[in-house]
Amino acid sequence: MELLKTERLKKYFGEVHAVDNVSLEIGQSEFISIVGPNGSGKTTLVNLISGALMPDTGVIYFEGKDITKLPAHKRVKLGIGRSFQIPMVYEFLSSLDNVLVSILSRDGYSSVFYRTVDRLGEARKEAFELLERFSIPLRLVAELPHGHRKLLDVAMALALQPKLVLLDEPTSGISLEERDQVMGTIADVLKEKKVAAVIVEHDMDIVAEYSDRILVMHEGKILKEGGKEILEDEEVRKVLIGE
Amino acid sequence: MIPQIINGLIFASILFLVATGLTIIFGILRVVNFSHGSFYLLGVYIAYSITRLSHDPVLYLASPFIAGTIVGGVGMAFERGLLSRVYGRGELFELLMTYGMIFVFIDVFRIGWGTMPISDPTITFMLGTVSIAGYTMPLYNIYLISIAAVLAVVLWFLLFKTNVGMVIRATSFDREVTSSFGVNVNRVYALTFFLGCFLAGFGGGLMLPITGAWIGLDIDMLIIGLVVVVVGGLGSIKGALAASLLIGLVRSFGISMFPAVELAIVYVIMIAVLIVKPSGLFGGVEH
Amino acid sequence: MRDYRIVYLAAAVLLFLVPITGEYATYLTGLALLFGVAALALNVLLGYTGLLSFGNALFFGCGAYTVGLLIKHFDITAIEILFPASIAASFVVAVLVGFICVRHTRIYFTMLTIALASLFYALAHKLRPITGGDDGIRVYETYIFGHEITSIIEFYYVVLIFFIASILILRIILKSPFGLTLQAIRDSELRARFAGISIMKYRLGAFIVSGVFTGMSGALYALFLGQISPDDVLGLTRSGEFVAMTILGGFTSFVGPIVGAFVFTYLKAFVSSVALYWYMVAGIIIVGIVLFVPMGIMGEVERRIRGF
Repeated sequence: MELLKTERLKKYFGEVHAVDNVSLEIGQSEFISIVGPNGSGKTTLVNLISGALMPDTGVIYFEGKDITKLPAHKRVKLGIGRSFQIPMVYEFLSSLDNVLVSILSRDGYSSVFYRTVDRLGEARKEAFELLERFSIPLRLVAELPHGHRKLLDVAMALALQPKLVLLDEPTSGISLEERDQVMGTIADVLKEKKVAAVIVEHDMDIVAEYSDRILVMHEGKILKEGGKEILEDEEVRKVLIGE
Repeated sequence: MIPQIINGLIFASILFLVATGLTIIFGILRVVNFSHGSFYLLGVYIAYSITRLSHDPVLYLASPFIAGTIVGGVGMAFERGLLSRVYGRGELFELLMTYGMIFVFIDVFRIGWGTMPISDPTITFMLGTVSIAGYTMPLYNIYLISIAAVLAVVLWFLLFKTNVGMVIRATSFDREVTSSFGVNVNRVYALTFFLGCFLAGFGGGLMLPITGAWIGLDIDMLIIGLVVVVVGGLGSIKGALAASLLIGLVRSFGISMFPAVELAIVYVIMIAVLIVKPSGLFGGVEH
Repeated sequence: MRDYRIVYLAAAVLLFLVPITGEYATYLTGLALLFGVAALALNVLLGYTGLLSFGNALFFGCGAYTVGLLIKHFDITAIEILFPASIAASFVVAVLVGFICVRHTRIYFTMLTIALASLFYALAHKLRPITGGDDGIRVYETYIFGHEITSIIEFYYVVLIFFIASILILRIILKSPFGLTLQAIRDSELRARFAGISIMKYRLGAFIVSGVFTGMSGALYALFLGQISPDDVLGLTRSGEFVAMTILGGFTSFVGPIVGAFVFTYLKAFVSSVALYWYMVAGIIIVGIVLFVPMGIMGEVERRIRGF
């Protein structure tokens, strides 16, 4: 059975058809890239799947269960994690605590109020290892540069050990030299934990290298779907380069 | 019925003046002015001092306007001199500064006008009484309600039919865009604060003959003003009008029917409105 | 990292020795300890959850009036009953009020806390046959396990024990996974939701913690002072004082609110004794802090220690 399935998902903002009749399926541990010009509905689609927005019409199934009406935090509990285009991090906490919040939530520990965090050795160790893996320094987040915040956002999503993770432009704002390495690390973690991923990405080299499947979006619709060969398709090139 | 309705309308008129000032200032500056009750009280005291000069009825009738203008000026000076220094540091600090001013004002009142309550009903005797449906009541009461109604119309005209009003409303939507059109946003802020405080001071001046002033009324007025604004919807003038009428009348009937819990009824209405419609009667989306 | 345990121990010893210096100092310090807990409880909302409550006197008054009403109408004078009863009452009120308030944030939350506290103020003020109205209630002849507490010094030690216990408990709560989650919500509600956290539940939790600790300090305030009235324990200025203390001491620091409560209480007593115009001074202090030391005393101290 597929992990996630959407049926005729629709979201209009006034006259703008941000997502228009999108039906798609995502398999277990599949790596899917969504590409398309700005305003083609990529981020809106991610928002609909993660529960940040509610669709006007259409249905979303996760592991066969209808989650269309489920609030975001409950979808997380089922196993859908996400990161953000503009990194969403806890500004006045340390990078370690940022990741720790996700780990504690995943383990159902967030509401424990009678034990201090520094006694939770296991969880802290896991958070620390995740930071090391992404080479994020242990520091107050307000003092971290943009690239590290971006990675931290991804690390916070992965710390939830989701079955499906939605990454909205994970490498934007990261220097070209580091991009390959960063994406390599993310892909390794995904493979290791057997996490399915939907990433919104502008860097076509990355898309071509890592994707099992590519969706091309245009004006809210899925224009084309397939392997990396579709990036060479005439119509797709036209849309992506933008006439 | 008639006396309760008239009393309710008097109360509603004053609430409208106070709450509209609060809501306009919030709409434009995104600051809830905690010292608004103090500006109201300042209006009563200034009107009191003005009418000490002579017992001319014209001066009595003019005193709310003069008091309102002075209070507006004080408000504008506060906004320019102090409040504007903390813009952009978050609403906590803006709120605290207006809260701190409450205490500065308390001692200003004590030094300037003493600690005893003041009141001066002279003008209500000068104007005499009228009869409505068999009930005799001071003409001043009718005058107060009418002048507040006139002011509501003037305010509506000012905000919706003039260029200044358009600029003010545009600023409340988006300050960056507005300033990019060459509007001096600082001037709009100062003007808004003047207008908001004028309304409070004017309302205070009008109430000199009826309730007068005492220290403590500042906080009472602030709280009931906040309740009106919350019920009406923060930032909405239409909401302030509707909620003032609602609360003014409820309180007036409450005082005559359930004197022990009249204020509590007002709060219960507020809670009920908020449970049904969290953003208030005419409130849009929060944030 | 420096070890601050020495500082805390020294502070505890000093507090233990305060009664040597006389009744007035004991009385003042007792008040500062109670306000310290209330300010700390306020900071659970302000500093840790990012919600400014301008109505925490509601809980303070709730604790105080639970004690007052039980004594006045039921002749219950045993502190071991009065105190748990106040905890229960403030818990219930916090849950009910919390349900209305935590759906809102920022200024909307703040205004709601004011309005709801005003409702309780109005009730205490107007329901004279029950609450004694403006005159309030006298609280005297209270016993702890059969032993009558008569001197202020004995009371002071009860307050001191409560203070130390509260600090220790609140410190654990705020450093717990729950406390960390509150701070996460404060910094980014959106991100917290996508970490699987149910925002309302945690805000309500913070509200209850804040309410219960404020309620307990209110209950002891009634016992310590022997007299309560609506203006004193339920008024807007009481709520405002908790906020002023917290900001004065520094809301970004755990001990900030306690420091603020001490400085504020002593300063108020000092200024009131030498000049007529405490209100003016209080207003200028609040405006001055906002303008010049927005992070408060401890915020400033910690900044200097870190060497920025």
